[in-house]
Amino acid sequence: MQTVTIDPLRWQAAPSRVILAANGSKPAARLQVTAPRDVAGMARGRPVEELPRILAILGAAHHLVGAQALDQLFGVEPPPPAVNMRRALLETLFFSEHLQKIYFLLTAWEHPFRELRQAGRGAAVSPVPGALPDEIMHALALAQEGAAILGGRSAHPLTAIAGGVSRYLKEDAYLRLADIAEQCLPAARRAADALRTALLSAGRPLAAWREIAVPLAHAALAPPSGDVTGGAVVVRNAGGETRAQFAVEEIGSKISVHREPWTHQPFAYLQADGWPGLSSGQPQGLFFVGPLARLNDGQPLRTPAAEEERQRMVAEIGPFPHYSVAAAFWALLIEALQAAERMADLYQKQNLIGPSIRSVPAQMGSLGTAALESPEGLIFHEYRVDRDGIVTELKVLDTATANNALRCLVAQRIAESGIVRHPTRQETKSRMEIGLLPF
Amino acid sequence: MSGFEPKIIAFLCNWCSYVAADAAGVSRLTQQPNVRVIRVFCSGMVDPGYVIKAFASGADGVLVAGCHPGDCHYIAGNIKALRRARLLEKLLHELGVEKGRFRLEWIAASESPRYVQVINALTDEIRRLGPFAKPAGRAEPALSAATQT
Amino acid sequence: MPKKTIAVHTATGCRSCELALLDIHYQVQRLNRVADIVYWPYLLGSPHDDLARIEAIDVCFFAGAVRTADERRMAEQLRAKSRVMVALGACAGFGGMPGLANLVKETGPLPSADPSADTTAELPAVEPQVSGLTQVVTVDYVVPGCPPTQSLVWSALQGVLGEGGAQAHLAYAAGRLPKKIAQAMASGVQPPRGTVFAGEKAVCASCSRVKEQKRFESVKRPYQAYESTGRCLLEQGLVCSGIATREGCGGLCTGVGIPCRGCFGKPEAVYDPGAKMVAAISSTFDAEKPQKIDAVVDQFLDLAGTFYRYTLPTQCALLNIQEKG
Repeated sequence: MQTVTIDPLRWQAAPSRVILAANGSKPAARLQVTAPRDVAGMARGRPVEELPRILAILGAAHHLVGAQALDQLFGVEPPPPAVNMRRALLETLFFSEHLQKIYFLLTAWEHPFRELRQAGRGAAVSPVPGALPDEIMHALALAQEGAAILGGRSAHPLTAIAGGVSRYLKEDAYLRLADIAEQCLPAARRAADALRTALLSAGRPLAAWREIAVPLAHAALAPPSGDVTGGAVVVRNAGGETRAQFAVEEIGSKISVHREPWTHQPFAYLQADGWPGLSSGQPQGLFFVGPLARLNDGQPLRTPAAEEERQRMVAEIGPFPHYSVAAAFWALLIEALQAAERMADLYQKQNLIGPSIRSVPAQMGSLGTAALESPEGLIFHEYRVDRDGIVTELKVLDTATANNALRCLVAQRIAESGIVRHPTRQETKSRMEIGLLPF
Repeated sequence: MSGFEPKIIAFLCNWCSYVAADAAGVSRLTQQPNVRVIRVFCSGMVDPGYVIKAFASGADGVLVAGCHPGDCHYIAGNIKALRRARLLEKLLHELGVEKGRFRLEWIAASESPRYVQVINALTDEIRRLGPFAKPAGRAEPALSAATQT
Repeated sequence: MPKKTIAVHTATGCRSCELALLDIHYQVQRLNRVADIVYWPYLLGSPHDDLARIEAIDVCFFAGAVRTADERRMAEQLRAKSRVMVALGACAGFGGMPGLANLVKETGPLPSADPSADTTAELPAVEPQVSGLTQVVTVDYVVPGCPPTQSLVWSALQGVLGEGGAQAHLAYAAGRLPKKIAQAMASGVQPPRGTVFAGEKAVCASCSRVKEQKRFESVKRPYQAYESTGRCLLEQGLVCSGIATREGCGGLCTGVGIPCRGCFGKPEAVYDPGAKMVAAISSTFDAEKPQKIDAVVDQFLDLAGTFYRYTLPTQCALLNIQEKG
């Protein structure tokens, strides 16, 4: 059997590759993560209050869900300014992480470095307006500055701790935040307009990606990400039927993890259904998370620019639920707009000041659990500690695990799809990269 | 473990334990020859780094010996040594170094028989523990199947 | 002057270090003016085969810790082709947080190539220990941090590419970096081999907190009440590794009320960061009687995991494999 290795995959956090096997007429694609990420090995034996900092390497939002798990473990409620600071940071992460993906998407056609672009490197004919990558980079830089102000730094934030946040912002920070928020929304609008017309509309390069779709059940917190102390997890399938619904505290027992010998990245699935495998054709028990999962119930959004965009998407490609790669990219735009609009609200000084930013714990429990909607999707932390507060067991559901099944199936769909007849290795690589990017 | 002769580094303070060691030699008290002595002016000047370096450089055991509390030539240097030793023992234990390889003892200038007794006992203990092997960390239960990532 | 060629690669890591290169925001265009990026899989999609076709690379920025046989091979391959090898970030420089796995003997069933299974998708072998890049190949420079701060990444780039640089940048860098690096940068020559792109003193030198008397009576854990601004954290009874950590971050964490955990690695003058922290803490707590001392010592937990949080594979003298330097 002839195999082709497509590696390394661009834009993937973990080192990844696709092994393609030419299986007669039906090609088989295996999405492999080639190195383990042993988070449990880093976290067990540590004092529990260190975890929001350690687990931030999985993604900045993990810092926030970790702090929430600590709140629960210590039985404290952060005071309103702290809740708002954390929420403001989370929205900023939505904006910057979605824009980061959009930027990466543009670099499929446009070379990241301006002069090389101008010298003609990059796609021979680019559908993307020349100045757009730089504009997006500029908006990203602003958002990262906002995240650094709120979280101490933008990559691996620091300031969310048990019971609140570690310090008030400096006086000049409030003005700067207002400045940032003011620039982010117009930037998001411009990016959305440009991307919609250049890439997503009918006949444009991403239109072909409406065909690559894997209709797994979508899982999200309900009510959705507006409330960071989110209520229940709801899993719905394509027909709108609720497959499962459970409280955040039950995630550890309702969602299980399966390992395959051919990849270091585990797979999440619903415990009640059992692991169905990836080639059964009946993906009962599999689900996915993320922007598309959050929008798939078709509920209108509360912020106007995002809702407008959502309606444009429905007008163009039909009502929700959606499962295609194109829809997933569109969902990034919608949520980026929503994040920018929310940042404008949350970045107000009066939300971020108050008599206290921290509730100091008086006692320690033995179990702390929390979940929230991160930019890439639902994430969950559960910590068990001994009486000294040392971590004995932990469960972490990150989006790489939650979406691994989806991504493997997307890779398979891409391999099977006939968009390009006899694609070159480079073309296949490029398609795998674009197809996996929004998830 | 026949044939293994422990190498023990002993940091002895100039005013008490070194004098005891010297007197033990002069008095021809029988002692095992595995100790290399480093004379310091106070047990409180033994930086934890010296102890770790000793192990990293091939020592199988390390002894720090100072004056009894209250008798320190520099008033409270030996108390500093005591605080350090307790913390260092904890760190060594976490790294997987067997308890008993590192020891802090109080030995007065007049206590040469005690000096001999300490080093003989330590040498026997180290001989029992074997050569210092690079520690592999502490043992932990294997990842349970339910634990994710 | 012909442009230097650059490669950027991450082994086992989180990509924050690579993004730190990209995130030098308004400067990233300047990067392209002085360097030709010939291999950057994460950003440019360079396929692995490209590497075989490249004859020589001027500077390779390598991030991430080495855990698998494939990553080791990649490190060796890039080292063989590159004139200068830079360990970017704490994982490459010291082993990083993945290195904490070396503290435990048993880390559970990691998938390995199962001979009976489908052999078309064999995973590279996982090594028994996590290594920093410095333990796998000879490394010329280290840019520490988790992730490195933007100013450091920028000053490292300038230093390594030999570019003269703007006055404002040099002035900032000169204040933070050892003199020999600043001088090298100003004259456009490469800094001495083995340079760590950070300061020479401990974080305390840059920390903005007020240091009064190094004495505390009771130990505090970060979830307990303490002054988040103002007084030195170590003096308040918290464990703060700043005293055993190289400066260069500007006291970023302590500045927002969070104790330092040592992501810049140990300063030149310190032999072992764990030993240094034991010395620092034992000099600071105020107990005289043996029972009181024992009671205080009992409150310090996970010393190894805290003092060697980012540096276990390379800077813990007792657990260290021979470094190639």
